Amino acid sequence: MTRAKAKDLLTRLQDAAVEDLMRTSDEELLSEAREDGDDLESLVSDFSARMSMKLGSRELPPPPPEQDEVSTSRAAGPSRNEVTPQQKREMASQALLKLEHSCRSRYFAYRNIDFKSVCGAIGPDARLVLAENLLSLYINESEGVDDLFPGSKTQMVRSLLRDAIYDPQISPFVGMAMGTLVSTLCTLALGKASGFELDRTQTPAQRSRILRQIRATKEWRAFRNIIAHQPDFVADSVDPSHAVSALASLQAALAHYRPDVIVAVGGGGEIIARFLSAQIKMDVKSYFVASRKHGDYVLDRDLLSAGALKRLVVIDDIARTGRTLASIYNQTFGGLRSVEIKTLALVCSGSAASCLRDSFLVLPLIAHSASVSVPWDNKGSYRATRTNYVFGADRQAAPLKVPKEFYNRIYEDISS
Amino acid sequence: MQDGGGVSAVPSDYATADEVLSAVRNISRINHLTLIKAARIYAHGSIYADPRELRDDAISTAYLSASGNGGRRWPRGVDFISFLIMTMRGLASDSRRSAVRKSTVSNRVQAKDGAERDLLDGLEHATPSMESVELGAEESQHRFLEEEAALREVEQLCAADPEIDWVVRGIREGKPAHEIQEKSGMSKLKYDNAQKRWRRKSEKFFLGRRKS
Repeated sequence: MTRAKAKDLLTRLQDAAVEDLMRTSDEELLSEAREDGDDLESLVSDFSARMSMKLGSRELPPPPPEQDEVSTSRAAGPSRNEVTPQQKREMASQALLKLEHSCRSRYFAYRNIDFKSVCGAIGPDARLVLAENLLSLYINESEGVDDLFPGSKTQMVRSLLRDAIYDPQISPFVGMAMGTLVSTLCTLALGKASGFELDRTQTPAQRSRILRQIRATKEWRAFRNIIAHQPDFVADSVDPSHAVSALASLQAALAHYRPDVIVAVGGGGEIIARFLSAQIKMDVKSYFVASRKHGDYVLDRDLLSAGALKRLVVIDDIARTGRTLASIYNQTFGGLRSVEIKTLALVCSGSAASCLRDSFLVLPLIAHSASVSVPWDNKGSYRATRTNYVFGADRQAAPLKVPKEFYNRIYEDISS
Repeated sequence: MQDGGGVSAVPSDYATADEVLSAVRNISRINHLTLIKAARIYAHGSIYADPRELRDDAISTAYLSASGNGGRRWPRGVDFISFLIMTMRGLASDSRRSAVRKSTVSNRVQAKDGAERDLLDGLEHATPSMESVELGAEESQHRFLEEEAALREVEQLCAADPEIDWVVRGIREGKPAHEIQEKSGMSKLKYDNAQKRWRRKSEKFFLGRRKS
């Protein structure tokens, strides 16, 4: 079957399923929802939170009407659809990470093409849209612009922003200024969500004190910690471009840390550990594999064969729960008191990130879902050809081939 | 509402941005469920790893187009939910054609000449690097394999349930329901039930493939 035919058939099958969905009665849909565990209340509140991000808070849909086509005994309370402080924090972090991600993506794209021809034409537009989006999120959020910018108006801020971004003298500093702006806005948003009062009558000194107080909160520190490591958020699968950036981050961190020994977690961990150890030109004698035997992880040979060691790094491809790395960290190497042990994973879930935060050398990707996957078959192997790095080789599924020249350029960007 | 700068003598047949927002506010719980179920079905094989993103983009498209930013507009008189479902279908289908990158409405801006474009378009089309071409080709091949695998799973599903097989055969051959029902010897109720089973399986099946 040709590709066009396969696609056409899939589309027709999808259309038929949706047609049936449209014919299905409300009673049946509700019964299916109960059967599938779809919680309508959380569906609606999740929708409200997402829409406030997408359309801006001014357009945040209020709670949907109580009367459904089918009346249910579960009436929604008036406060159920309000944006909670937790959701606000999530919105703030998503907005910032999105901005960060967009900047990084474009940065890499710039390096692939003629920098001069594009920077002038695209850069300011992109920056302006991103900055305005971010401003809208906060400025429209509450009573008005005065809340965050005493004595100003939205239009004035936007107009100044536009002038600044297009001004040839100011534009070289825009990136730096935006970083500060983003940081301040996020700090204020996190503070407001944490219950700090932001009053326009406050003096500059009082406002500075509030900023300092917000920065002392646990939420802010946790947020800052994530930002400092600049992880990217992925949904449930790591796409090739994220994977390449993350591998380059891992390599840069390893090159800087200069471990004496690398321990690959048997299976998926071996693919990237082999790649990374080859990249930093690690001696094969210093490369170990930890495999699971009778519930514990054991090394393929005696660690003493590596000689004296001070720094050891355990590498896995995915940390879904963090248990594997924690087990190796605590049990396999629990007795090594004189050795500094760090962990590395290409991608980890939020829970793994929080439970292993202190042990990670660097944290390039955080997945929303613990069932995250990498863009290659992790039962395969790693190989380097003359022109490509090949991940997930020797399996039926197509491996991920990363052109060496491309990877090296990304690595240079990150390591510099 | 006037079309992008032009003057219209008659009232527009399309909803305004406020009307779109009002319709979004008035989406009932049951319609939320319908939307997410449709999104689960259409998200398969598209760049949307999360069906909620597809639904959100459809709503943003409706809102932005009503605000005069170009794109598919909501005609007055058309049911809003049906319109959103068709928009999701279009967005998912577009994304399959350009599988390499996701162009969400949030990246779209209005250029000075009034034309809508993606912020990253200039970057992508200026000088496509060898690397991005190679990665794109691999991604395209990967998607094809995924589509083939999906169809194989449909076949397995059909093999396990002969009644679903008739339904799928009907869709595949473009035959009307009554003709397939007659040919298969199923009663209307039986045929409807088989169709329902097919839809229920496909919701989970399409979703399951993306989440794997």
